[in-house]
Amino acid sequence: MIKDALTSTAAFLISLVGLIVGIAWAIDSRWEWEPILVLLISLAELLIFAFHKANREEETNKPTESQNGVAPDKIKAEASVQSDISTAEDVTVKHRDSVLDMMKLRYHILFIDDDRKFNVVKILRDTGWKHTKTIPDIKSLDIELVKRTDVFFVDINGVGKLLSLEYEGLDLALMLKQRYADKKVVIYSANKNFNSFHEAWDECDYKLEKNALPYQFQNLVEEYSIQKFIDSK
Amino acid sequence: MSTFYYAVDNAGDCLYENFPSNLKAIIHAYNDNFEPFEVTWNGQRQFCRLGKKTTSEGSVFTLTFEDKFLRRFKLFRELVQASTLPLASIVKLKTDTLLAQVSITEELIHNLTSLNSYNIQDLFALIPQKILAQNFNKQEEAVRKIIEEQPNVTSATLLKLIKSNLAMKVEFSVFERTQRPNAFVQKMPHSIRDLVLSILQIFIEDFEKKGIQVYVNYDDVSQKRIDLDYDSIFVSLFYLLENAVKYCCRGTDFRIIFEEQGDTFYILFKMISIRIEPNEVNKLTSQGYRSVAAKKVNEEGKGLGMYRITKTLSLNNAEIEIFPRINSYKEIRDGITYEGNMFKIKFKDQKTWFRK
Repeated sequence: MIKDALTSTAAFLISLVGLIVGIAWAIDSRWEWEPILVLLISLAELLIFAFHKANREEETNKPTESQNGVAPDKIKAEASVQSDISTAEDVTVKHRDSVLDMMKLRYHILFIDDDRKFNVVKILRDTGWKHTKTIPDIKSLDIELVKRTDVFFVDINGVGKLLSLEYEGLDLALMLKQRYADKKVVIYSANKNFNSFHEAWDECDYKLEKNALPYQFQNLVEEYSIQKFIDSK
Repeated sequence: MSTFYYAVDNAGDCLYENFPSNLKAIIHAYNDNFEPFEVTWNGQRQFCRLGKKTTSEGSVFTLTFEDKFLRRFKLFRELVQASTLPLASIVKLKTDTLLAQVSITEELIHNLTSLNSYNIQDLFALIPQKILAQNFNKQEEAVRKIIEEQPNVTSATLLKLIKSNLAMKVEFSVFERTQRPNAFVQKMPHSIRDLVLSILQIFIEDFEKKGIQVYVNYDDVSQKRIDLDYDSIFVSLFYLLENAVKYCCRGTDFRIIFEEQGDTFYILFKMISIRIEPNEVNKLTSQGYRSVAAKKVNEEGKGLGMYRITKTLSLNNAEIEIFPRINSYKEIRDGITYEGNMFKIKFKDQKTWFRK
Protein backbone atom coordinates (compact mmCIF):
# COMPACT_ATOMS: atom_id res chain seq x y z
CA MET A 1 0.00 0.00 0.00
CA ILE A 2 2.74 2.47 1.08
CA LYS A 3 4.90 1.19 -1.78
CA ASP A 4 2.07 1.88 -4.26
CA ALA A 5 1.62 5.41 -2.84
CA LEU A 6 5.35 6.13 -3.04
CA THR A 7 5.62 4.89 -6.63
CA SER A 8 2.49 6.56 -7.97
CA THR A 9 2.57 9.31 -10.57
CA ALA A 10 0.82 11.73 -8.14
CA ALA A 11 3.65 11.27 -5.60
CA PHE A 12 6.14 11.92 -8.38
CA LEU A 13 4.41 15.18 -9.39
CA ILE A 14 4.09 16.38 -5.75
CA SER A 15 7.77 15.67 -5.07
CA LEU A 16 8.72 17.50 -8.29
CA VAL A 17 6.75 20.54 -7.16
CA GLY A 18 8.29 20.15 -3.66
CA LEU A 19 11.79 20.15 -5.17
CA ILE A 20 11.21 23.34 -7.20
CA VAL A 21 9.46 25.17 -4.34
CA GLY A 22 12.12 23.89 -1.88
CA ILE A 23 14.95 25.30 -4.03
CA ALA A 24 13.24 28.70 -4.32
CA TRP A 25 12.44 28.80 -0.57
CA ALA A 26 15.96 27.76 0.38
CA ILE A 27 17.51 30.53 -1.74
CA ASP A 28 15.05 33.05 -0.42
CA SER A 29 15.62 32.03 3.22
CA ARG A 30 19.39 31.78 2.75
CA TRP A 31 19.40 28.02 3.33
CA GLU A 32 17.33 27.67 6.51
CA TRP A 33 16.88 24.03 7.69
CA GLU A 34 13.06 23.88 6.92
CA PRO A 35 13.39 24.33 3.10
CA ILE A 36 16.41 21.97 3.09
CA LEU A 37 14.19 19.33 4.76
CA VAL A 38 11.51 19.82 2.09
CA LEU A 39 14.23 19.51 -0.58
CA LEU A 40 15.62 16.27 0.87
CA ILE A 41 12.17 14.66 1.22
CA SER A 42 11.24 15.60 -2.36
CA LEU A 43 14.57 14.33 -3.67
CA ALA A 44 14.17 11.02 -1.79
CA GLU A 45 10.70 10.51 -3.26
CA LEU A 46 12.00 11.23 -6.79
CA LEU A 47 14.80 8.68 -6.35
CA ILE A 48 12.35 6.02 -5.07
CA PHE A 49 10.10 6.64 -8.10
CA ALA A 50 13.00 6.50 -10.62
CA PHE A 51 14.47 3.32 -9.07
CA HIS A 52 11.09 1.56 -9.12
CA LYS A 53 10.47 2.48 -12.77
CA ALA A 54 13.88 1.17 -13.87
CA ASN A 55 13.22 -2.13 -12.03
CA ARG A 56 9.85 -2.60 -13.66
CA GLU A 57 11.28 -2.13 -17.20
CA GLU A 58 14.00 -4.68 -16.54
CA GLU A 59 11.45 -7.23 -15.40
CA THR A 60 9.31 -6.67 -18.49
CA ASN A 61 12.27 -7.31 -20.82
CA LYS A 62 13.61 -10.32 -18.96
CA PRO A 63 12.48 -13.67 -20.54
CA THR A 64 10.91 -15.78 -17.85
CA GLU A 65 11.81 -19.43 -18.31
CA SER A 66 9.69 -22.41 -17.54
CA GLN A 67 10.90 -25.39 -15.58
CA ASN A 68 12.22 -27.23 -18.65
CA GLY A 69 14.18 -24.20 -19.79
CA VAL A 70 12.01 -23.31 -22.79
CA ALA A 71 10.83 -19.74 -23.11
CA PRO A 72 7.05 -19.46 -22.54
CA ASP A 73 6.76 -17.45 -25.77
CA LYS A 74 8.08 -20.41 -27.70
CA ILE A 75 5.73 -22.77 -25.93
CA LYS A 76 2.87 -20.45 -26.76
CA ALA A 77 3.87 -20.29 -30.42
CA GLU A 78 4.33 -24.04 -30.55
CA ALA A 79 0.97 -24.60 -28.90
CA SER A 80 -0.60 -22.27 -31.40
CA VAL A 81 0.94 -24.19 -34.30
CA GLN A 82 -0.12 -27.51 -32.80
CA SER A 83 -3.71 -26.48 -32.21
CA ASP A 84 -4.18 -25.01 -35.68
CA ILE A 85 -3.03 -28.02 -37.67
CA SER A 86 -4.93 -31.22 -38.14
CA THR A 87 -4.43 -32.07 -41.83
CA ALA A 88 -1.68 -31.62 -44.41
CA GLU A 89 -3.79 -28.90 -46.03
CA ASP A 90 -3.58 -26.89 -42.81
CA VAL A 91 0.20 -26.65 -43.03
CA THR A 92 0.40 -23.20 -44.50
CA VAL A 93 3.64 -21.56 -45.54
CA LYS A 94 3.77 -19.72 -42.20
CA HIS A 95 3.11 -22.86 -40.17
CA ARG A 96 5.41 -24.96 -42.27
CA ASP A 97 8.55 -23.14 -41.18
CA SER A 98 7.57 -23.34 -37.50
CA VAL A 99 6.73 -27.03 -37.76
CA LEU A 100 9.97 -27.76 -39.59
CA ASP A 101 12.04 -25.89 -37.00
CA MET A 102 10.42 -28.05 -34.35
CA MET A 103 10.75 -31.31 -36.27
CA LYS A 104 14.41 -30.72 -37.10
CA LEU A 105 15.11 -31.33 -33.43
CA ARG A 106 12.86 -34.37 -33.15
CA TYR A 107 12.90 -36.28 -36.44
CA HIS A 108 15.36 -39.18 -36.69
CA ILE A 109 16.94 -39.94 -40.06
CA LEU A 110 19.14 -42.98 -40.71
CA PHE A 111 21.15 -43.68 -43.84
CA ILE A 112 22.23 -47.29 -44.35
CA ASP A 113 24.98 -47.09 -46.93
CA ASP A 114 28.47 -48.51 -47.18
CA ASP A 115 29.54 -45.64 -49.43
CA ARG A 116 31.48 -43.29 -47.16
CA LYS A 117 31.72 -40.62 -49.85
CA PHE A 118 27.97 -40.05 -49.90
CA ASN A 119 27.68 -36.52 -48.55
CA VAL A 120 23.93 -36.02 -48.20
CA VAL A 121 24.13 -36.90 -44.50
CA LYS A 122 26.41 -33.94 -43.87
CA ILE A 123 24.21 -31.66 -45.98
CA LEU A 124 21.11 -32.65 -43.97
CA ARG A 125 22.93 -32.13 -40.68
CA ASP A 126 24.18 -28.74 -41.87
CA THR A 127 20.61 -27.70 -42.67
CA GLY A 128 19.54 -28.38 -39.09
CA TRP A 129 18.35 -32.01 -39.06
CA LYS A 130 20.08 -32.80 -35.79
CA HIS A 131 19.32 -36.51 -35.66
CA THR A 132 20.79 -37.59 -38.99
CA LYS A 133 23.07 -40.60 -38.84
CA THR A 134 24.70 -43.03 -41.22
CA ILE A 135 25.83 -46.62 -40.73
CA PRO A 136 27.39 -48.98 -43.27
CA ASP A 137 25.08 -51.89 -42.39
CA ILE A 138 22.87 -53.20 -39.56
CA LYS A 139 23.16 -56.41 -37.57
CA SER A 140 19.57 -56.52 -36.39
CA LEU A 141 16.24 -54.76 -36.85
CA ASP A 142 15.87 -54.52 -33.07
CA ILE A 143 18.76 -52.23 -32.23
CA GLU A 144 17.87 -48.97 -30.51
CA LEU A 145 19.11 -46.86 -33.42
CA VAL A 146 16.66 -48.57 -35.78
CA LYS A 147 13.78 -48.41 -33.30
CA ARG A 148 14.01 -44.66 -32.86
CA THR A 149 14.48 -43.87 -36.56
CA ASP A 150 11.61 -42.16 -38.38
CA VAL A 151 12.90 -42.43 -41.94
CA PHE A 152 15.40 -44.90 -43.39
CA PHE A 153 17.39 -44.21 -46.54
CA VAL A 154 18.69 -47.54 -47.78
CA ASP A 155 21.21 -47.96 -50.58
CA ILE A 156 20.30 -51.12 -52.45
CA ASN A 157 23.91 -52.09 -53.09
CA GLY A 158 26.47 -53.23 -50.52
CA VAL A 159 24.22 -53.41 -47.43
CA GLY A 160 22.31 -56.25 -45.77
CA LYS A 161 25.48 -58.33 -45.72
CA LEU A 162 25.54 -58.63 -41.92
CA LEU A 163 22.09 -60.21 -42.13
CA SER A 164 23.21 -62.37 -45.10
CA LEU A 165 20.48 -60.97 -47.33
CA GLU A 166 20.53 -62.27 -50.90
CA TYR A 167 19.20 -59.07 -52.48
CA GLU A 168 21.18 -56.80 -50.15
CA GLY A 169 19.53 -53.39 -49.67
CA LEU A 170 16.28 -54.40 -51.34
CA ASP A 171 15.77 -57.23 -48.86
CA LEU A 172 16.78 -54.96 -45.98
CA ALA A 173 14.38 -52.18 -47.06
CA LEU A 174 11.54 -54.67 -47.37
CA MET A 175 12.27 -56.14 -43.94
CA LEU A 176 12.34 -52.68 -42.36
CA LYS A 177 9.03 -51.73 -43.98
CA GLN A 178 7.37 -54.99 -42.99
CA ARG A 179 8.65 -54.72 -39.42
CA TYR A 180 7.98 -51.01 -38.95
CA ALA A 181 5.05 -50.18 -41.20
CA ASP A 182 4.62 -46.70 -39.71
CA LYS A 183 8.20 -45.66 -40.44
CA LYS A 184 9.21 -44.34 -43.85
CA VAL A 185 11.61 -46.35 -45.98
CA VAL A 186 13.30 -44.76 -48.98
CA ILE A 187 15.53 -46.78 -51.27
CA TYR A 188 18.12 -45.19 -53.46
CA SER A 189 20.41 -46.61 -56.03
CA ALA A 190 22.68 -45.93 -58.94
CA ASN A 191 20.73 -48.58 -60.87
CA LYS A 192 16.96 -48.43 -60.66
CA ASN A 193 16.58 -51.50 -62.81
CA PHE A 194 18.46 -53.73 -60.39
CA ASN A 195 16.13 -56.65 -59.58
CA SER A 196 13.20 -54.62 -60.84
CA PHE A 197 10.70 -57.31 -59.82
CA HIS A 198 11.73 -57.26 -56.16
CA GLU A 199 8.82 -56.56 -53.80
CA ALA A 200 10.74 -53.74 -52.09
CA TRP A 201 10.30 -51.48 -55.15
CA ASP A 202 6.54 -51.49 -54.55
CA GLU A 203 6.51 -51.67 -50.76
CA CYS A 204 8.91 -48.87 -49.91
CA ASP A 205 7.67 -45.30 -49.57
CA TYR A 206 9.91 -43.65 -52.15
CA LYS A 207 12.68 -44.42 -54.62
CA LEU A 208 15.49 -42.01 -55.36
CA GLU A 209 18.33 -42.11 -57.79
CA LYS A 210 21.71 -41.97 -56.13
CA ASN A 211 22.48 -38.81 -58.11
CA ALA A 212 19.35 -37.07 -56.76
CA LEU A 213 20.02 -33.50 -55.71
CA PRO A 214 20.38 -32.67 -51.99
CA TYR A 215 17.24 -30.57 -52.51
CA GLN A 216 15.30 -33.78 -53.28
CA PHE A 217 16.49 -35.50 -50.11
CA GLN A 218 15.68 -32.38 -48.08
CA ASN A 219 12.22 -32.00 -49.58
CA LEU A 220 11.45 -35.65 -48.86
CA VAL A 221 12.57 -35.37 -45.24
CA GLU A 222 10.52 -32.19 -44.81
CA GLU A 223 7.38 -33.82 -46.23
CA TYR A 224 7.72 -36.93 -44.08
CA SER A 225 8.49 -34.99 -40.91
CA ILE A 226 5.42 -32.80 -41.44
CA GLN A 227 3.38 -35.94 -42.03
CA LYS A 228 4.67 -37.35 -38.76
CA PHE A 229 3.83 -34.13 -36.96
CA ILE A 230 0.26 -34.27 -38.29
CA ASP A 231 -0.11 -37.98 -37.48
CA SER A 232 1.13 -37.47 -33.93
CA LYS A 233 -1.63 -35.01 -33.16
CA MET B 1 -0.43 -76.27 -79.18
CA SER B 2 1.91 -79.08 -80.05
CA THR B 3 4.19 -77.53 -82.71
CA PHE B 4 7.18 -75.51 -81.60
CA TYR B 5 9.84 -73.31 -83.22
CA TYR B 6 13.40 -72.34 -82.33
CA ALA B 7 14.98 -69.67 -84.56
CA VAL B 8 18.64 -68.65 -84.46
CA ASP B 9 20.54 -66.07 -86.50
CA ASN B 10 23.77 -66.74 -88.36
CA ALA B 11 25.80 -66.03 -85.21
CA GLY B 12 23.84 -68.74 -83.39
CA ASP B 13 21.99 -66.25 -81.16
CA CYS B 14 18.37 -67.11 -80.44
CA LEU B 15 15.86 -64.86 -82.26
CA TYR B 16 12.69 -66.43 -80.89
CA GLU B 17 11.66 -69.81 -79.52
CA ASN B 18 8.78 -71.53 -77.77
CA PHE B 19 10.28 -75.02 -77.28
CA PRO B 20 9.28 -76.90 -74.10
CA SER B 21 12.04 -76.19 -71.59
CA ASN B 22 13.07 -79.84 -71.23
CA LEU B 23 13.42 -80.27 -75.00
CA LYS B 24 15.59 -77.28 -75.92
CA ALA B 25 18.73 -79.41 -75.91
CA ILE B 26 17.51 -81.66 -78.72
CA ILE B 27 18.44 -79.07 -81.35
CA HIS B 28 22.07 -79.89 -80.60
CA ALA B 29 21.40 -83.56 -81.46
CA TYR B 30 19.64 -82.73 -84.74
CA ASN B 31 20.49 -85.25 -87.46
CA ASP B 32 18.49 -83.99 -90.47
CA ASN B 33 16.57 -87.23 -91.20
CA PHE B 34 13.11 -85.89 -90.18
CA GLU B 35 12.28 -89.32 -88.73
CA PRO B 36 9.89 -89.54 -85.72
CA PHE B 37 11.52 -90.28 -82.38
CA GLU B 38 10.35 -90.66 -78.79
CA VAL B 39 10.76 -88.02 -76.05
CA THR B 40 9.15 -87.19 -72.73
CA TRP B 41 6.65 -84.35 -73.07
CA ASN B 42 3.92 -83.35 -70.61
CA GLY B 43 5.05 -86.20 -68.38
CA GLN B 44 4.51 -88.86 -71.05
CA ARG B 45 6.68 -90.63 -73.58
CA GLN B 46 5.50 -89.38 -76.99
CA PHE B 47 6.65 -89.46 -80.62
CA CYS B 48 7.70 -86.23 -82.35
CA ARG B 49 9.41 -85.00 -85.50
CA LEU B 50 12.24 -82.43 -85.58
CA GLY B 51 13.12 -80.51 -88.76
CA LYS B 52 15.44 -77.65 -89.64
CA LYS B 53 15.62 -75.15 -92.47
CA THR B 54 18.49 -72.74 -93.02
CA THR B 55 18.37 -69.50 -95.04
CA SER B 56 20.83 -66.62 -95.48
CA GLU B 57 19.34 -64.98 -92.33
CA GLY B 58 19.59 -67.99 -90.03
CA SER B 59 17.95 -71.33 -89.17
CA VAL B 60 14.60 -72.44 -87.76
CA PHE B 61 14.07 -75.75 -85.95
CA THR B 62 10.52 -77.11 -86.02
CA LEU B 63 9.37 -79.64 -83.43
CA THR B 64 5.91 -81.18 -83.69
CA PHE B 65 3.81 -83.69 -81.78
CA GLU B 66 0.78 -83.26 -84.07
CA ASP B 67 -0.52 -86.51 -85.43
CA LYS B 68 -0.97 -85.34 -89.07
CA PHE B 69 2.69 -84.24 -89.29
CA LEU B 70 3.85 -87.45 -87.65
CA ARG B 71 1.88 -89.56 -90.07
CA ARG B 72 2.65 -87.62 -93.31
CA PHE B 73 6.29 -86.75 -94.04
CA LYS B 74 5.28 -84.46 -96.96
CA LEU B 75 3.12 -82.29 -94.74
CA PHE B 76 5.92 -82.01 -92.17
CA ARG B 77 8.45 -81.03 -94.84
CA GLU B 78 6.09 -78.22 -96.00
CA LEU B 79 5.74 -77.08 -92.40
CA VAL B 80 9.52 -76.89 -92.07
CA GLN B 81 9.81 -75.04 -95.40
CA ALA B 82 7.25 -72.45 -94.26
CA SER B 83 8.93 -71.95 -90.89
CA THR B 84 11.55 -69.52 -92.23
CA LEU B 85 9.05 -67.14 -93.88
CA PRO B 86 9.09 -64.54 -91.02
CA LEU B 87 12.84 -64.93 -90.43
CA ALA B 88 14.02 -62.09 -92.70
CA SER B 89 11.62 -59.57 -91.09
CA ILE B 90 12.60 -60.62 -87.59
CA VAL B 91 16.33 -60.39 -88.33
CA LYS B 92 15.78 -56.92 -89.85
CA LEU B 93 13.76 -55.81 -86.81
CA LYS B 94 16.50 -57.04 -84.50
CA THR B 95 19.22 -55.27 -86.50
CA ASP B 96 17.25 -52.00 -86.67
CA THR B 97 16.48 -52.08 -82.93
CA LEU B 98 20.10 -52.80 -82.15
CA LEU B 99 21.32 -49.95 -84.37
CA ALA B 100 18.78 -47.54 -82.86
CA GLN B 101 19.86 -48.56 -79.37
CA VAL B 102 23.52 -48.19 -80.26
CA SER B 103 22.80 -44.74 -81.68
CA ILE B 104 20.96 -43.68 -78.49
CA THR B 105 23.71 -45.06 -76.30
CA GLU B 106 26.37 -43.43 -78.45
CA GLU B 107 24.60 -40.09 -78.15
CA LEU B 108 24.46 -40.51 -74.36
CA ILE B 109 28.15 -41.43 -74.25
CA HIS B 110 29.01 -38.52 -76.55
CA ASN B 111 27.11 -36.00 -74.41
CA LEU B 112 28.51 -37.36 -71.15
CA THR B 113 32.03 -37.42 -72.56
CA SER B 114 31.70 -33.78 -73.64
CA LEU B 115 30.46 -32.72 -70.20
CA ASN B 116 33.15 -34.77 -68.50
CA SER B 117 35.78 -33.11 -70.69
CA TYR B 118 34.44 -29.64 -69.73
CA ASN B 119 34.79 -30.63 -66.06
CA ILE B 120 38.35 -31.85 -66.55
CA GLN B 121 39.37 -28.79 -68.59
CA ASP B 122 37.78 -26.31 -66.18
CA LEU B 123 39.42 -27.94 -63.18
CA PHE B 124 42.88 -28.20 -64.69
CA ALA B 125 42.64 -24.70 -66.12
CA LEU B 126 42.32 -23.51 -62.52
CA ILE B 127 44.69 -26.05 -60.96
CA PRO B 128 47.28 -27.08 -63.55
CA GLN B 129 48.18 -30.76 -63.50
CA LYS B 130 51.81 -29.74 -63.42
CA ILE B 131 51.35 -27.96 -60.09
CA LEU B 132 49.70 -31.03 -58.58
CA ALA B 133 52.50 -33.21 -59.87
CA GLN B 134 55.21 -30.88 -58.60
CA ASN B 135 53.58 -30.64 -55.17
CA PHE B 136 52.37 -34.17 -54.69
CA ASN B 137 53.35 -34.10 -51.00
CA LYS B 138 51.52 -30.83 -50.29
CA GLN B 139 48.70 -30.74 -52.81
CA GLU B 140 46.20 -29.17 -50.43
CA GLU B 141 48.57 -26.31 -49.69
CA ALA B 142 49.21 -25.74 -53.39
CA VAL B 143 45.49 -25.70 -54.16
CA ARG B 144 44.77 -23.35 -51.24
CA LYS B 145 47.39 -20.95 -52.60
CA ILE B 146 45.75 -20.94 -56.03
CA ILE B 147 42.32 -20.29 -54.48
CA GLU B 148 43.71 -17.40 -52.43
CA GLU B 149 45.44 -15.91 -55.46
CA GLN B 150 42.52 -16.38 -57.86
CA PRO B 151 39.26 -16.21 -55.88
CA ASN B 152 37.22 -14.95 -58.83
CA VAL B 153 38.40 -17.64 -61.24
CA THR B 154 37.80 -20.23 -58.51
CA SER B 155 34.19 -19.17 -57.98
CA ALA B 156 33.57 -19.06 -61.72
CA THR B 157 35.06 -22.55 -62.10
CA LEU B 158 32.96 -23.94 -59.26
CA LEU B 159 29.79 -22.52 -60.79
CA LYS B 160 30.72 -24.06 -64.15
CA LEU B 161 31.29 -27.40 -62.42
CA ILE B 162 27.88 -27.23 -60.76
CA LYS B 163 26.27 -26.57 -64.11
CA SER B 164 28.05 -29.30 -66.06
CA ASN B 165 27.48 -31.86 -63.30
CA LEU B 166 23.79 -31.07 -63.27
CA ALA B 167 23.78 -31.24 -67.07
CA MET B 168 25.17 -34.77 -66.69
CA LYS B 169 22.30 -35.58 -64.36
CA VAL B 170 19.92 -34.24 -67.01
CA GLU B 171 21.48 -36.57 -69.60
CA PHE B 172 20.87 -39.58 -67.36
CA SER B 173 17.31 -38.46 -66.60
CA VAL B 174 16.53 -37.91 -70.28
CA PHE B 175 17.85 -41.36 -71.07
CA GLU B 176 15.76 -42.91 -68.30
CA ARG B 177 12.62 -41.01 -69.14
CA THR B 178 12.59 -40.87 -72.92
CA GLN B 179 14.35 -44.05 -73.97
CA ARG B 180 13.20 -46.66 -71.52
CA PRO B 181 9.71 -48.13 -71.63
CA ASN B 182 7.52 -47.43 -68.57
CA ALA B 183 9.30 -44.26 -67.44
CA PHE B 184 9.70 -44.15 -63.70
CA VAL B 185 7.65 -41.25 -62.29
CA GLN B 186 7.09 -40.41 -58.62
CA LYS B 187 5.30 -37.29 -57.49
CA MET B 188 5.99 -35.44 -54.27
CA PRO B 189 4.76 -32.01 -53.07
CA HIS B 190 7.20 -29.20 -53.88
CA SER B 191 7.03 -25.46 -53.32
CA ILE B 192 6.80 -24.33 -56.93
CA ARG B 193 8.91 -21.22 -56.41
CA ASP B 194 11.65 -23.10 -54.52
CA LEU B 195 11.66 -25.74 -57.20
CA VAL B 196 12.03 -23.20 -60.03
CA LEU B 197 14.77 -21.40 -58.10
CA SER B 198 16.65 -24.67 -57.50
CA ILE B 199 17.05 -24.99 -61.27
CA LEU B 200 17.23 -21.31 -62.20
CA GLN B 201 20.25 -20.75 -59.93
CA ILE B 202 22.33 -22.91 -62.28
CA PHE B 203 21.85 -20.38 -65.07
CA ILE B 204 22.00 -17.10 -63.17
CA GLU B 205 25.64 -16.53 -64.04
CA ASP B 206 24.90 -17.13 -67.74
CA PHE B 207 22.03 -14.64 -67.63
CA GLU B 208 24.29 -12.11 -65.90
CA LYS B 209 26.97 -12.52 -68.55
CA LYS B 210 24.39 -11.50 -71.17
CA GLY B 211 23.17 -8.63 -69.02
CA ILE B 212 19.74 -10.21 -68.67
CA GLN B 213 17.86 -9.27 -65.53
CA VAL B 214 15.88 -12.19 -64.10
CA TYR B 215 12.71 -11.62 -62.07
CA VAL B 216 10.81 -14.36 -60.25
CA ASN B 217 7.41 -13.40 -58.87
CA TYR B 218 6.92 -13.68 -55.14
CA ASP B 219 3.26 -13.72 -54.17
CA ASP B 220 0.64 -16.07 -52.71
CA VAL B 221 0.44 -18.15 -55.88
CA SER B 222 4.21 -18.67 -55.95
CA GLN B 223 3.95 -20.24 -52.47
CA LYS B 224 1.77 -23.11 -53.71
CA ARG B 225 2.95 -26.65 -53.23
CA ILE B 226 2.47 -28.88 -56.22
CA ASP B 227 2.85 -32.63 -56.63
CA LEU B 228 5.57 -33.15 -59.20
CA ASP B 229 8.09 -35.70 -60.35
CA TYR B 230 11.20 -33.65 -59.65
CA ASP B 231 13.55 -35.41 -62.06
CA SER B 232 11.15 -34.90 -64.98
CA ILE B 233 10.42 -31.23 -64.23
CA PHE B 234 14.14 -30.71 -63.69
CA VAL B 235 14.83 -31.83 -67.28
CA SER B 236 11.95 -29.71 -68.65
CA LEU B 237 13.07 -26.54 -66.89
CA PHE B 238 16.76 -27.19 -67.52
CA TYR B 239 16.21 -27.24 -71.30
CA LEU B 240 13.80 -24.29 -71.17
CA LEU B 241 16.23 -22.11 -69.23
CA GLU B 242 19.20 -23.28 -71.28
CA ASN B 243 17.32 -22.22 -74.43
CA ALA B 244 16.41 -18.91 -72.80
CA VAL B 245 20.09 -18.20 -72.09
CA LYS B 246 20.96 -19.07 -75.71
CA TYR B 247 18.19 -17.19 -77.46
CA CYS B 248 17.30 -14.18 -75.26
CA CYS B 249 18.39 -10.71 -76.33
CA ARG B 250 21.30 -9.22 -74.38
CA GLY B 251 20.44 -6.56 -71.82
CA THR B 252 16.75 -7.38 -71.54
CA ASP B 253 14.47 -8.73 -68.80
CA PHE B 254 13.44 -12.34 -68.21
CA ARG B 255 10.37 -12.81 -66.03
CA ILE B 256 8.95 -15.90 -64.36
CA ILE B 257 5.36 -15.54 -63.20
CA PHE B 258 3.10 -18.05 -61.44
CA GLU B 259 -0.63 -18.11 -62.14
CA GLU B 260 -3.57 -20.15 -61.04
CA GLN B 261 -6.83 -20.29 -62.96
CA GLY B 262 -9.53 -22.64 -61.79
CA ASP B 263 -8.08 -26.12 -61.72
CA THR B 264 -4.98 -25.27 -63.74
CA PHE B 265 -1.60 -23.97 -62.61
CA TYR B 266 0.72 -22.05 -64.90
CA ILE B 267 4.34 -20.99 -64.96
CA LEU B 268 4.90 -18.15 -67.42
CA PHE B 269 8.32 -17.36 -68.88
CA LYS B 270 8.24 -13.92 -70.50
CA MET B 271 11.30 -12.81 -72.45
CA ILE B 272 12.72 -10.89 -75.37
CA SER B 273 14.03 -13.68 -77.56
CA ILE B 274 14.56 -14.64 -81.19
CA ARG B 275 11.58 -14.24 -83.51
CA ILE B 276 9.25 -17.20 -83.83
CA GLU B 277 7.55 -17.31 -87.23
CA PRO B 278 3.77 -17.94 -87.11
CA ASN B 279 4.19 -21.25 -88.93
CA GLU B 280 6.89 -22.36 -86.47
CA VAL B 281 4.79 -22.31 -83.30
CA ASN B 282 3.51 -25.86 -83.75
CA LYS B 283 6.76 -27.21 -85.17
CA LEU B 284 9.08 -26.07 -82.39
CA THR B 285 8.28 -29.06 -80.19
CA SER B 286 8.88 -31.60 -82.98
CA GLN B 287 11.96 -33.78 -82.67
CA GLY B 288 14.82 -32.44 -84.78
CA TYR B 289 13.12 -29.15 -85.77
CA ARG B 290 15.12 -25.92 -85.42
CA SER B 291 13.66 -22.50 -86.12
CA VAL B 292 15.09 -20.22 -88.82
CA ALA B 293 16.32 -17.72 -86.24
CA ALA B 294 17.82 -20.48 -84.02
CA LYS B 295 19.94 -21.65 -86.96
CA LYS B 296 21.21 -18.08 -87.45
CA VAL B 297 22.21 -17.77 -83.78
CA ASN B 298 23.82 -21.17 -83.54
CA GLU B 299 24.56 -23.51 -86.43
CA GLU B 300 25.03 -26.45 -84.12
CA GLY B 301 22.19 -28.09 -82.25
CA LYS B 302 19.96 -31.02 -83.01
CA GLY B 303 16.54 -29.54 -82.30
CA LEU B 304 16.03 -31.79 -79.28
CA GLY B 305 15.52 -29.28 -76.44
CA MET B 306 11.87 -28.34 -77.04
CA TYR B 307 11.00 -31.93 -77.95
CA ARG B 308 12.46 -33.16 -74.66
CA ILE B 309 10.68 -30.40 -72.74
CA THR B 310 7.34 -31.59 -74.16
CA LYS B 311 8.11 -35.23 -73.54
CA THR B 312 9.21 -34.79 -69.93
CA LEU B 313 6.39 -32.34 -69.15
CA SER B 314 3.87 -34.97 -70.22
CA LEU B 315 5.19 -37.18 -67.38
CA ASN B 316 3.93 -34.47 -65.03
CA ASN B 317 0.61 -34.19 -66.87
CA ALA B 318 1.75 -30.80 -68.13
CA GLU B 319 2.23 -29.17 -71.51
CA ILE B 320 3.92 -26.12 -72.98
CA GLU B 321 2.21 -23.38 -74.96
CA ILE B 322 4.14 -20.85 -77.04
CA PHE B 323 2.91 -17.28 -77.48
CA PRO B 324 5.02 -15.21 -79.92
CA ARG B 325 4.82 -11.39 -79.98
CA ILE B 326 3.09 -10.85 -76.64
CA ASN B 327 3.99 -7.16 -76.94
CA SER B 328 5.11 -4.73 -79.61
CA TYR B 329 8.83 -4.92 -78.74
CA LYS B 330 11.06 -5.54 -81.72
CA GLU B 331 14.80 -5.20 -82.08
CA ILE B 332 17.25 -6.29 -84.74
CA ARG B 333 20.80 -7.10 -83.63
CA ASP B 334 23.45 -8.61 -85.89
CA GLY B 335 20.75 -9.47 -88.41
CA ILE B 336 18.67 -11.39 -85.85
CA THR B 337 15.19 -10.21 -84.91
CA TYR B 338 14.23 -10.27 -81.24
CA GLU B 339 10.61 -10.00 -80.04
CA GLY B 340 8.57 -10.40 -76.87
CA ASN B 341 7.72 -14.10 -76.49
CA MET B 342 6.09 -16.15 -73.78
CA PHE B 343 6.43 -19.85 -72.97
CA LYS B 344 3.67 -21.06 -70.70
CA ILE B 345 3.84 -24.35 -68.82
CA LYS B 346 0.38 -25.58 -68.02
CA PHE B 347 -0.20 -28.13 -65.27
CA LYS B 348 -3.60 -29.49 -66.20
CA ASP B 349 -6.61 -30.52 -64.11
CA GLN B 350 -4.69 -30.71 -60.87
CA LYS B 351 -6.96 -28.98 -58.37
CA THR B 352 -6.16 -31.59 -55.75
CA TRP B 353 -2.49 -30.70 -56.04
CA PHE B 354 -2.96 -27.29 -54.60
CA ARG B 355 -2.14 -26.72 -51.03
CA LYS B 356 -2.74 -23.58 -48.95
